[in-house]
Amino acid sequence: MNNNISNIKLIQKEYSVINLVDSNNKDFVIAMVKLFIDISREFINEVNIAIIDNNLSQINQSAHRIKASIDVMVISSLSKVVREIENSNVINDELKDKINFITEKLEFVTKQMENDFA
Amino acid sequence: MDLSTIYLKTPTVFILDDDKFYLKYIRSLISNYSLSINTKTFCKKEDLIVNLDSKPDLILLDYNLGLQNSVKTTAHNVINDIENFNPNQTIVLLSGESSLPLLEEYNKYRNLEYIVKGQTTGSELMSILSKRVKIQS
Repeated sequence: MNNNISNIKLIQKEYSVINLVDSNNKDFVIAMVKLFIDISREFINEVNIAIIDNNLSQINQSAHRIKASIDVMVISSLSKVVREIENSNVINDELKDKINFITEKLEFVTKQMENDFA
Repeated sequence: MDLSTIYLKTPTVFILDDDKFYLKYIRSLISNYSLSINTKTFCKKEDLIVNLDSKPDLILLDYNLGLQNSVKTTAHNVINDIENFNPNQTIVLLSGESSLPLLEEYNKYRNLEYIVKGQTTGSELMSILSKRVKIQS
């Protein structure tokens, strides 16, 4: 467990807590990170079910809902792809690849968060 | 001290967004601006509507509210309900969309302010709070 939150911003990460206005408040940051982990898992679950159900609307909605949170947590590698998924108008291999990419990256980032804040 | 200041009620801001993380984020931005503002957050429009009798000073309204009771819902649906309760309610839209047509569409309808979710959200929100919410000094 890393107790020094201010140092976390200095380490190369796939995310940052720099946008959290109260980023020196450890309890607040932990609460926000836990919430992000929860909504990421919710997103992964939703899009996986939506792919099976061939439900493009749900995929678009799920991407829309997590988009701003990804920006707040400065996960730059997902900023573009989440918007592409949100605006997709057909379920094809390209979209499935993008969904695989975003779910794998979110799983990686949330594990990184858990290591930092668990 | 000015008497009008003495009797100023604690301002209340309502926030409606289907993204729980973003709700908490916006709430933290407001608390950082002033601890003297009450904020109430809602994920569902019905929950906001039934609380309108507490007369919020400002409502921050996400544009795309996703599926509400299995119906795709946008701010437009909610604005109608809010205006039925209070036609003069101050409403500010929040959205991940930055396209101008959306803004133009709403400004034909009424003069709504608009905050784009992104890097400038904090500063835009501070600007709106300073104009729209009177805080007891």
